[in-house]
Amino acid sequence: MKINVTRRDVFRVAAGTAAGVMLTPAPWKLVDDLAIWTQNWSWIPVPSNGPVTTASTVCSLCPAGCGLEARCVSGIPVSLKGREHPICPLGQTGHHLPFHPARITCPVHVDHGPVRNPLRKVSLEQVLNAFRKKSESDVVAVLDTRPGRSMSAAWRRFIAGQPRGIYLPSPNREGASLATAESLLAAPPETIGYDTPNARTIVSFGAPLAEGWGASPVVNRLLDDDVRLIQIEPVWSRTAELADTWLPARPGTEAVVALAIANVLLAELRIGGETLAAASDRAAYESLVARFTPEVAAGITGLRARDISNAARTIAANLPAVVIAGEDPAGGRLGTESETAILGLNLLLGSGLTHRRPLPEPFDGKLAPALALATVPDRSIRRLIIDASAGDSAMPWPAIVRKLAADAVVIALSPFAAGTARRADYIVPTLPFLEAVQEIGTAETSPVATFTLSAAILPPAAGPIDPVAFLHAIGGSLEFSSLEELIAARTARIHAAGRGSVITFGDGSTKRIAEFESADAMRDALLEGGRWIDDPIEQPAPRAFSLLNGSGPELARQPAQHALTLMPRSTRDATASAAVSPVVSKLDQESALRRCGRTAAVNPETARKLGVRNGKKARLSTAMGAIAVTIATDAAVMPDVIELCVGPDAIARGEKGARHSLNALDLCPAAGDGVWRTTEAKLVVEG
Amino acid sequence: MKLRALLTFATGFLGALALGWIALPHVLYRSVEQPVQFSHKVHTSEAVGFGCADCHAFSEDGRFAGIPPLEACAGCHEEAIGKTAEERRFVAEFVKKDREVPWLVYSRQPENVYFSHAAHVNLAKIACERCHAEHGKSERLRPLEQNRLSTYSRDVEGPVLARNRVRPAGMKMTDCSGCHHQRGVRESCLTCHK
Repeated sequence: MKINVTRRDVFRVAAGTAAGVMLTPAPWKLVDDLAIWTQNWSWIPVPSNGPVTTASTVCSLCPAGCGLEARCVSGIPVSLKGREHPICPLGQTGHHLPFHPARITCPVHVDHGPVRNPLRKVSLEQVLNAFRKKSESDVVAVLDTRPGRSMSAAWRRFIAGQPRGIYLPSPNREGASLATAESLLAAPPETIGYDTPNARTIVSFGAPLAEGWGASPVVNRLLDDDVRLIQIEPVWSRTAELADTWLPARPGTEAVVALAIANVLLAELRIGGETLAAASDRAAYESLVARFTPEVAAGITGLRARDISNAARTIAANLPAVVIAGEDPAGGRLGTESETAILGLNLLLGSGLTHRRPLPEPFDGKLAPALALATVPDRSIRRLIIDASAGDSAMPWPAIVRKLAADAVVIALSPFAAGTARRADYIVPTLPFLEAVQEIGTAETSPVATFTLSAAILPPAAGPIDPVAFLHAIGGSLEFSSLEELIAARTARIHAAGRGSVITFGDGSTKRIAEFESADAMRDALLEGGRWIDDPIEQPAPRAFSLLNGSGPELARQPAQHALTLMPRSTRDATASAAVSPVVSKLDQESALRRCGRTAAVNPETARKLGVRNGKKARLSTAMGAIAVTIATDAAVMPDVIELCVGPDAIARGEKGARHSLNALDLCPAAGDGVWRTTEAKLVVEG
Repeated sequence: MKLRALLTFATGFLGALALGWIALPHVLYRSVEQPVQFSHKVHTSEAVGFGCADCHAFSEDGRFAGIPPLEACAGCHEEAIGKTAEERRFVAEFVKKDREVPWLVYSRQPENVYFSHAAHVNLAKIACERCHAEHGKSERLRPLEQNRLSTYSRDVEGPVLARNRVRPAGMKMTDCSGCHHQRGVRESCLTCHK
């Protein structure tokens, strides 16, 4: 019998097959298995099976130095969590960083042109030759992104030995504004901190206290019911949200608010008269403050006069108070004049600033002084070393470029070809967090000296260069052969001084230094997660001081008002490390829990005025250049202000094939005193 | 005409069912023999008298040691003490050469699953057989059926295909969930998927 198979029969069989397949596990199982198959490719790293252990260490990714507990499988950390309190996203994913795509393990030359492969492997000898090629009489500078470490002391000694050497701490770091307090208190800045533990009122001028700022005791104080927080900043930040009082002063008018508060304290509440008597510029200060009544200040700052008066009354009713001139992780300092007016309030109130002992250095000898970047003559540096081995710091690169000679060579030390190091001509790899012992010294804002060590949990990768070995290679003379030895020497110095106590991890007990048999025993306790805390010192009697620090004429001037003011903003965990785990990008790129880098937030009113819309692209320009941004309309942003989110770029997030492009901070021209907190900007619809 | 239409549709329908339910498992899974044979039955017999925990022990800190290391076997089998060729091979190839046996683990859970024997055996007092069925009395080690795509053991995979031939255990997510429901034990995604 002949069967004629028609086209219709084929369709029927196909329809039957399709219906039948849907009733089998085949499609569902294959979809599932194929998804798993794509996760099990041989080149995808998988933690090996093995014994599960826990290890203690301290996070060295930012100056806070949070205690960590690492869960390890076969000795490899697979998760990190805070020991005493929850930790930030950067810390939680810190164990990913040694495996980051931007990690380098051999020296590289960076080509800043439009080339396909900007990183080219070179030998250490080639890097050293590039450094040595310059003349001995050139200005040699070291830019330290994490000052205060033992390695910082080594650099300062190296610079002191150079005919024309300059040591530059990063211009953007928490506590940088305390340099202004040096003249107010006639004491070195490394011996001044904020007395937050004893404060009943915290007045913060833009310090992101609830978003990671200073050491953890500052945040802990905010949780106390008897502590009042007055947040003064133009931004409705997380800290402003948690504050008892938020004063949204216009950008750049912080000094006026401070002077107006001083006016109420002196004229109405009769507080500060005694302190004022000891000031060398009493008359000038009184005359300046008298001009800024709450009513006058209200016209300049956009605040209500009665809110300024009420803030002053709250402070007076809840003494002692601490007044903080806060740095933004991306926006940096407020500026010398503003800081003078703000920090002067502490003197007027007789509280707030406190003296502490400096952390012992690892060796004796002359150290070069720390200079501010803004004080360096333009186009003077011919050899620049950027030490970003312990972390990064957000700063506008043009502010550094203007200090470099045309033929300058820039060498960076960093575990990653990302962040500030990516701007250098050569990058020398160093060991990252968890692969080497690192130190976490005193936070610049801390009222007492503290010290702890971050233990190495991972075996070190082959290739990275020890910073001390690099220092020797460029001609530095140091009696230590490795960073670990250098840190051990500082630990021994702390032990030898015999002061303070170590809070041990585990039982939380406190052990006096004298109870440790040797420096090694103390070092072991620190490596297990312990923290050394110095004894408080008796505060010295106040000496003659200046409340205006020579800033009187500038403070008397009306702050400049821009039609549109650009304010770069960020969080500490987004800027403290040159690289972040790609997982962290979920926070900004997927979940929108944070604003993505290059997002410009504007008030809906301002957006309407400029003709830009939420979610649309626009071009943000300043005198320094222009970049494309995504607009986010937000009623919490002050009118005529652009809050530009500065986050990790594509290279820092480890995106494949990411190219370096203009950084959002590059749009901010650092002013004469090296401040870029506010900038005049334009915003236009793209295309 | 209608019969022809029905028949052609049914041909495709039944063919697909047969392929999906019978042929696919054969294609999807491969059988991998254990590196050496082992009789649980002999070791748990009255003559030897071992219980599960004698070899699959808990360490002092409460963690489950899993498959015993060679050292545990070598305690008795430094020399062959039985008559089987497999034991002689085990002694010659592994014990004498001090080489760990690369046992294939039927119950190895995927990387994204966290399971605590301590919580289930020591705290909840669940018998080994509840999950491992009669494995402790098996005379031979059956081949591991491994998914060619996911590489997972068929014993721990989802319920649909795994039930065709292998029925010893309850180590799939639905089994875990079912037991938790049955005993009124709270569960959430993060309990097992940390």
